[in-house]
Amino acid sequence: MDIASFFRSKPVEEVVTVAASADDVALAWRNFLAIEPELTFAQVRFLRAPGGRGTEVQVRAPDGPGRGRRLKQALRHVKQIIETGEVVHAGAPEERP
Amino acid sequence: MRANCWMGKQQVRVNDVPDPKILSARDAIVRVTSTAICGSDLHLYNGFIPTMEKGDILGHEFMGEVVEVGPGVKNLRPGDRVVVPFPIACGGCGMCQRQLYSLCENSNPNAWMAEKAWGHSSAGIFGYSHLVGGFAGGQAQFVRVPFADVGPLKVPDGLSDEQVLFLSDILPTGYMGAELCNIEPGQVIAVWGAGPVGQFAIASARLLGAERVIAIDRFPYRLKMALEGAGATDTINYEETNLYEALAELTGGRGPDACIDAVGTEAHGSAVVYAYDRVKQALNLEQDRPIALRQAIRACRNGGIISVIGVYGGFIDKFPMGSVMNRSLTIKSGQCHVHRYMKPLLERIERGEIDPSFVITHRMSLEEAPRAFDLFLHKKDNCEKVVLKA
Repeated sequence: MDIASFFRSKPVEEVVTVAASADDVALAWRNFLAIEPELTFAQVRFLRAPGGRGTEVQVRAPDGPGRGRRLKQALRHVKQIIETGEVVHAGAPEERP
Repeated sequence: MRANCWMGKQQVRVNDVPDPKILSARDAIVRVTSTAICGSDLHLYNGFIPTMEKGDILGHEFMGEVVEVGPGVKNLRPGDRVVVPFPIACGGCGMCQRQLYSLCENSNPNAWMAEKAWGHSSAGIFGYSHLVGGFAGGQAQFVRVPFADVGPLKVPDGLSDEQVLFLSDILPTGYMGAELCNIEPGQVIAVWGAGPVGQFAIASARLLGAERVIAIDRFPYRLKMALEGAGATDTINYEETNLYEALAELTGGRGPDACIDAVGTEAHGSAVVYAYDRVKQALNLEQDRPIALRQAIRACRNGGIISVIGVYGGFIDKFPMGSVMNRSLTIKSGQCHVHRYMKPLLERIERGEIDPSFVITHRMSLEEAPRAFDLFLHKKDNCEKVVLKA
């Protein structure tokens, strides 16, 4: 994407609540940039979630084919790794007959 | 290993499949000793729950012996005897922290599918379609259990499999159905459906202090079990009696204080209403057949509670919202937050307050799963609950 179309395109926005403090989420965030390339395109804000529910992670990135879906999936993985320590798998398809 | 697989509508087959492996640090592998067929498995069997794929391993009620644990599982070790709750829960998200385990925000890798269907996703569930994760189920010789440090409950050797197996689903589900009713002394609770979950809802309503519990079904053998096994005080066979008149008579015209729908999406009813819903369901104009739920709403006393623990998958039609609103009814519902109830219910079993094995009518081998599904679906041979030995 050239720089002009980058600024012309409508951004995609996704948000997720993570049950951890903003400091902890921000600290963890840097590590995700290496493993979730989608996030390198994104601007991010960490907001305190009301009611002691942790941190709202808001991301905004320039639109692109499938970008919204991939960004959402990347945020799910971020949440899973911070809250559970792993990305959840249902098992490999080859485990089926 | 051998596993009972969904092969299409009303087709299951026990196949040779690869053994499960540890995929994450918090996994365990459990060798299944006993597993059961749930009424909600029949919704999959009959093709009412979307996103099943040929070869999916069924089963979400199972227990057994831990044979392997990942490095992140510190509370279990090989040789432990465990019962596994049917919802998969991470223990760390906001919902798990509030003990709403069936709403775990992290355990459904296919959350996007569920969000499309329902707005938000619920937890992953073993062997219950790709909408809730596509996890392999427990009607198998071995199962991979994710977040094994959170879910499985160790059970003492002094209790048999049959006494504790149902802690995996139907006993906590029935109990939660009764708990949602906020039962006070002297109250009358009506339970639609005297299947296994209905039986445990009845028994739990008695444990929680209901004065009168009315079981509603159309099969005499199930109503007999409700009276003799679960402790119902009254029964109504809606094929022989006018349901609303019978309920009015048993409650001095008030209606039950709370009504539990332990039937869900594949209800039967009077010929005309049943045909209406069955046709709409077949044409996919409505996905669920809410006959029991409509009746429960209509029958409930003013200001009462409707507790919905029967499983629904999608949309329903002709929903009597006017009755709900004008009569100040409260509808409560949910897939059971099993983890929350397992330990207290195990203690009730140990104290002899309830022996859940009274619902078992058939004991078969895993290899006989196809015949077991047929027996259970068609209520042949007075089938109430099948336990499969793996």
